[in-house]
Amino acid sequence: MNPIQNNIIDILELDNLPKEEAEEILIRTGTLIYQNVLMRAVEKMTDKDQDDFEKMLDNEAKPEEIFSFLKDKVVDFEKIIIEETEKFKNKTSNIMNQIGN
Amino acid sequence: MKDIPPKNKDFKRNKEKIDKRVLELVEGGYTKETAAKIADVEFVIMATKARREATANDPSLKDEEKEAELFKKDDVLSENTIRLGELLAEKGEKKTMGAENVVETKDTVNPVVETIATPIEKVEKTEAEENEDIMKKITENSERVIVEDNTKFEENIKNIHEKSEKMITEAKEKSDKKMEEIRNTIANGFKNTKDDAVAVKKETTKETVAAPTEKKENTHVNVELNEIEKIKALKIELETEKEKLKNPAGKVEDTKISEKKSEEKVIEKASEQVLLAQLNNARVQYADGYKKFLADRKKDSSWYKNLGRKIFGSKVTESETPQYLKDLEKEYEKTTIEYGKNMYSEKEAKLKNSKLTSEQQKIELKRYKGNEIFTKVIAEEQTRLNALKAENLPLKEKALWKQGMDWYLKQPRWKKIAISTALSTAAIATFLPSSIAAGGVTATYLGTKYVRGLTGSFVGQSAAQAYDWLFKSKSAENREMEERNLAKRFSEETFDTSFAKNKKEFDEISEKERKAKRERLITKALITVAAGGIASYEMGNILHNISPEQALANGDLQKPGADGHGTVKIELKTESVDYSSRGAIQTIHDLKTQISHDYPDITKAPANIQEFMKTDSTQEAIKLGMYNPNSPAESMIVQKGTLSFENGTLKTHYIDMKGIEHDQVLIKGADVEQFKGDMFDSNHQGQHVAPQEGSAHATPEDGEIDQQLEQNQVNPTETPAIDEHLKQNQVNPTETKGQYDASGKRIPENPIEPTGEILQSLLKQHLEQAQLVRTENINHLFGKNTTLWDNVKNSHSPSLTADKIMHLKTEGMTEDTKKLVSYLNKLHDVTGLSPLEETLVSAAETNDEFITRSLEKAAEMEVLDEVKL
Repeated sequence: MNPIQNNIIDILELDNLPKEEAEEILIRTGTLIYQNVLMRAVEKMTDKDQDDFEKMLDNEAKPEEIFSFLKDKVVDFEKIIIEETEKFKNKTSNIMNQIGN
Repeated sequence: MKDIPPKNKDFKRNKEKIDKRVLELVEGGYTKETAAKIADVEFVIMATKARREATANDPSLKDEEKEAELFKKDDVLSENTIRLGELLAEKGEKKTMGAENVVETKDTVNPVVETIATPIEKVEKTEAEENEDIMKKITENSERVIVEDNTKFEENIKNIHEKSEKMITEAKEKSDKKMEEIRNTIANGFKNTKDDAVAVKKETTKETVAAPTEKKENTHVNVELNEIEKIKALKIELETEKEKLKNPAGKVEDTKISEKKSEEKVIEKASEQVLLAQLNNARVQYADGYKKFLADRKKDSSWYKNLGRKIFGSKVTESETPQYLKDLEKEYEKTTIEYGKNMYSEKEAKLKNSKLTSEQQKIELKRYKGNEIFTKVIAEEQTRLNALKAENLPLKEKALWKQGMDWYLKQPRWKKIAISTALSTAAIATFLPSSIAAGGVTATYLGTKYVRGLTGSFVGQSAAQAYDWLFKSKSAENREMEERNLAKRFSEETFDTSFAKNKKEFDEISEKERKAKRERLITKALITVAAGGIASYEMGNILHNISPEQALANGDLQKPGADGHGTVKIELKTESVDYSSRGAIQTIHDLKTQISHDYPDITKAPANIQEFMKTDSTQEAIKLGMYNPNSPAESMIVQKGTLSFENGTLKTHYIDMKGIEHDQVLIKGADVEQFKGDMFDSNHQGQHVAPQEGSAHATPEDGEIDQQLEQNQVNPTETPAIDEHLKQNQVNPTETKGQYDASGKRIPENPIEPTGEILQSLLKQHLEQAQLVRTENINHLFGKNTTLWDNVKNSHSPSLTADKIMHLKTEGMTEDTKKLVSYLNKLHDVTGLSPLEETLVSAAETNDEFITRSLEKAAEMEVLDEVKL
């Protein structure tokens, strides 16, 4: 399924929320997806990449550096993001659609 | 049983043995310097191990003391083990001898130390043999950790089960009791519907008889379901009775309706408790099943081959998920949905009784679903599951994952929003090959229905930009420009009030993080020091009523300034006041005074405290439902209690007139909930309910209502004031038009000799007003750029005290300094006060001290308006 067609924002109807609340929800959603993506990413790394990644985190690397690293070192990193986003979206959709409708 | 070594056992270095050990190492190929270091570290390790063992077996230590001691020793141990590994590696890892030669205890014979000091290898082995031995030790240790972990897990599960059962039992008892009370009410209150009441009673008896049988046959989950069914049935009964009440033929008194409403609330609460218990139970069962599944999975794997990784935590495919786990997950999801539905229907019912239009109700309901329900049933629950998954990762991966989360949580808010935007919106499609995401380019993305629907919203405008920033390579210059744009876009938010809610939770997380750090060190060293337990990093805490900012707090919270670079530190504090005998408005005043004191710079307070301070106290009381000028019973009444801001959440704890204690959250984030306690008629127009002695509305001295005071304080808008000054100038300044002369001074009406209490109140209000003006003026003078003010406000530096600053020549100075000098002079001109100079016994007055003193003087002189900026 093309993520453009059915995305999390639609499901959560974030456009109905005040800006501050929408931001909060967005952060929470992003955090959950990031948690899952990171969990799979660290598992896929080689020992050396794990060590390098740890050094980057120790050195408080910038987000763009972190994500570039992950994109370069973790096989199918984009696919992992897509999968985790889809998984989250489907679960959310399944639960939220049964509430209040 | 092992002997217990003496407490605080000391160890001394045996120079001869250390020298011997160094010699061995040098002969083994190490430099003298490295050899000395190795011997030294070996000594520390052996001694620490022995001390650790002694601590672990010391019966005189309390658990917490023991834990703390072990914690410290573990840190020392793991750090030194890492160090030893590094030193040994300098030559090419060669373990020839143990360190028993370099350490000795004061006791010549000590079995524990002897055991610990047993040589690692007495005879040099081949590299293959060494590796095999090391692997064996690691495996043994790791398996021991897993067994211990499993045992702990089982204990935890058991505890949670017990807690759930207890909650269910309590909820059941509560609802049974309430049901009985309601039935009695119904039976007593509806004499002409006696037959109905009897019918209800019969029905109840049937249920009561049926329940124990079911309980015997089914699990506790079924018991919960029965309870829910019972509660639902009761709700239906109540609805029916409510309808009858609306019928004039019913002739039922208003008080009965009120009682029934109150009972309904209790039932709703009980119902929620049961659902919550059910949800907890389902989660625990799923967690239990998941753990079991992973354990089974591990058994089927080759331990050596998979040592340390890729056994746990890897993606679980659909085909390998056992049926029992699928069933448990399904049940868990079903319960989650039930919980969400309950939240939704309760909100819907509340809204129906509100004054909102149908359209407004729909909007509010959507908002509630998108925020509160989503947070509870998705965000919190998912986070708990993630915590569970993380717990089952191999140690190294778990530590790395945790560190990655720490890194993320430390990012400024705007960066988190940008990352979240890029990850969780359709922007993700923009970096996919076009074959995966048809037309997955920014332009197409921006043309989608979703983005069109969000025209003007921050998400729609920023998603693609956020993606570009994160994933696309570009020149440093472009990146910097892009970052500035993003920071500006995402930093326009208000304070994140939610982070101010849970300092306690944050402290807990910090503690867990500290433990996790230790765990990482241990993992690195490949040693297992299981005693004391390996802390879990429970991510549930992060999203359980807590935003990522909360985890970032650490006493140094920051939000991007308007330019995305400047920062304002948010200070989390707790303010609490007792309910004033003079009413809610006075109590709100009191709280404001305390806040003013605690937050000299109000911009450092959480957003909802700032909002609270800005709002007129009377309006605030109306907003919080503590005062309703349109109702005959217009004022709240409690025996005693407190009103407090705890890290940005406004709470109240009170004892009502029946002596029952209540806790209620009034403001949480953007949500405001009205006071749920009793109201009474303080005007004594018609049916007056006299408050009891010592209540928040009684005068403490004689226990009787001081009507004049009450009218002044509780309902200043409706009653002739005994002290117009108090009423208009202090309580509701917006209503003072026409009370001032041409010079701006107030013309008192019917001046009355103030009583001691009024004078005290007046003084308090002067101080409060002065504080408010002070805060506003400082904001006016310096805005968000508080650097100058931060440096000079409390400085006792001889050149920076108020008396010096006030007389500075302003030529060539910055605008901020000029403003400050001018302000100090203005205060002097209006009040006649001068800053105190340094004397032999006292320091010179600081700028803040002088400003505060002058403003208090201005308030006393009633010329505060003249020094407002």
